[in-house]
Amino acid sequence: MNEQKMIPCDHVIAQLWEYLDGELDELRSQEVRQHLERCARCFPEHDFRGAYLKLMRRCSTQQVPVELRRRIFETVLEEEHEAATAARPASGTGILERARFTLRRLLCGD
Amino acid sequence: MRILERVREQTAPPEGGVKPGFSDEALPHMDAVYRFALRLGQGRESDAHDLVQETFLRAYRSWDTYKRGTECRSWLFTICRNQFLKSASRLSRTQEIPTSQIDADVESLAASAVFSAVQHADPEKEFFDSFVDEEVMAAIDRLPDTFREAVVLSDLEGMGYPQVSEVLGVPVGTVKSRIFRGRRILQEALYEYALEMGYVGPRGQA
Ligand SMILES: [Zn+2]
Repeated sequence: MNEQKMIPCDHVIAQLWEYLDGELDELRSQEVRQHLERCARCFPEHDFRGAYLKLMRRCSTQQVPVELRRRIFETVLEEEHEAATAARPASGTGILERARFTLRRLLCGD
Repeated sequence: MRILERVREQTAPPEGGVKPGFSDEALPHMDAVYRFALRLGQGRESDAHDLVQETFLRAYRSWDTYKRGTECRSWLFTICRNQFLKSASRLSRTQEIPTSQIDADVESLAASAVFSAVQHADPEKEFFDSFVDEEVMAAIDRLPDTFREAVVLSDLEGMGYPQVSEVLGVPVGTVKSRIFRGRRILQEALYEYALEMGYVGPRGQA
């Protein structure tokens, strides 16, 4: 690799988040990568920011409480029932979708 | 099931009361919407419950406006956020910061300050490993609204800049500024907290 082709540290740090977020185009990404491979100053900062992003991903694990899940299914079911009876009192076509919905609700461990 | 639904889609009158696809496309994002709602409301459980319920009710009612093939999660986040901004309990949104004036590159450069501070204080380089989830969430909840929502969508939910831009209704450049500034404030807060808790030694004497 040609030494002159190295972009300066400032440029790397300015683009570092975009690089880590995978939002740089291939050319720019490659420039940053090549710099990081050879720069003892920028590389630790790359690791540091990468560790931050990993921590954030790790933290994102909360799930809807069962009680709320039940409330939402019930709300939607009610809404559907109302709409179905208002729009097509004699029609049976809503039954299928409602059956699927109920099944999903059971599968969701409610 | 899929076949049945397709048949139904072709045969059911459009003014019907059932919404094909809703349970398959919208409901699987319930956890993500819940997490987003929790952070919008700075961790208040009961507010988040009401907000998520309201979001899915609105989503159900306006399911016809959802464009098939686009990301349903973004669509739900947008509804959730609009609902949150409208809610009466939301008395004061923290002061709007003119983020269009923040330069993303400058923010990325400024982030180095936290790194150097931590590097001096914590030579083990395991700084971020010392936090448990609750500590991180508490720090996120203290971010100003503008930065919190951007960081949550990007860093917790893993959305790209264009997706965040869609949910927040601002240009990608503004999204970048908000995410980068938010990350810096958050890292500074975590660093301060770590010093307080003794996770890292004071600067220069680790
Ligand atoms: Zn460098």
